[in-house]
Amino acid sequence: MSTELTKEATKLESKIKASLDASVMDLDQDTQQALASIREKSLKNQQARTWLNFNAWRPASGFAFSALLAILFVYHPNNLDDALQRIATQQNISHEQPEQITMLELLTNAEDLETATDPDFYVWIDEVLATEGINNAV
Amino acid sequence: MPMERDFNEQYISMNHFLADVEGRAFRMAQIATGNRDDALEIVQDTMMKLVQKYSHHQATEWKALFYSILNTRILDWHRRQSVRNRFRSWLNWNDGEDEAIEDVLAQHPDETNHSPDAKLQDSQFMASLNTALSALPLRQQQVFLLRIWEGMDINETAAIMHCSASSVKTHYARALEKLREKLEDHQ
Repeated sequence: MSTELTKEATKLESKIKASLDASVMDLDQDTQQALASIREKSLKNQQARTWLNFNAWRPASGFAFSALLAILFVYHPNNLDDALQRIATQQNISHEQPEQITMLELLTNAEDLETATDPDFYVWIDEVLATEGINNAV
Repeated sequence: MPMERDFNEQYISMNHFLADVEGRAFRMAQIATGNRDDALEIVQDTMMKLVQKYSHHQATEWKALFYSILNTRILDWHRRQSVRNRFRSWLNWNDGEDEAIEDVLAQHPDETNHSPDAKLQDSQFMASLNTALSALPLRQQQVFLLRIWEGMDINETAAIMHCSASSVKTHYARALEKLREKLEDHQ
């Protein structure tokens, strides 16, 4: 009895499946076209999305990211300060006025500073300059 | 370019997959909704979502994902219909749509080479099957179609339907029993 029921059920299942398959095969032309058009539309969407997808832009974004890192490294505020200081130092050395150098040398040398603050030194230098002026006139 | 080749391969695979399932998906949606346009809309939503969200998944996973989305869409449609029907009955408004539910199987032109009698029998069986399937509760209908038509096993069906394997067995047995009762004249 049970085997007979199972056989009957299997037969019914097969018949139902065959009918459902046939119903798909016999879909009218309009419906088939509508389904094909829906499929095409969905796949076009995929194409559009794929170009916006990160995967597609991975090499380009990798390059852009590296470039950004390089720029940040080179123009980092600390690095920038060092570089500016270096440039400033170079400029100071090359364009510094002779008077400033003399003053700096005087201030950094204790012996010269002592000489510069001695009033006799100025008396002596006046005499020397006066003598030089006479000699030059001759 | 490997990336472009990958994309083309994926595009072709997806196209083949969708072409293979679209007819059955449409019929499932049509049986569930009783309406051609709603069925097409459900299939469109399903395809769009699969392509947009899951095309990067393995092709072997597409079938389960596709039917999972399809069943969810059908369920959503039924929920919306149920709300609409509630409003309609509240307003006592009938625009004749109920009568316009298509007997879709009866519309199909039969182009097989069967004898006129066999054709008539097939056509009658199809019409009765359509009516019987449409009359099944939604869960039973979905389980039955996935199992019998898509050939999915109990566990796969349970995963798609988000229910237990024992529920799948119960739904299937009940659906088969009801169909047997309604189609016994054709056996």
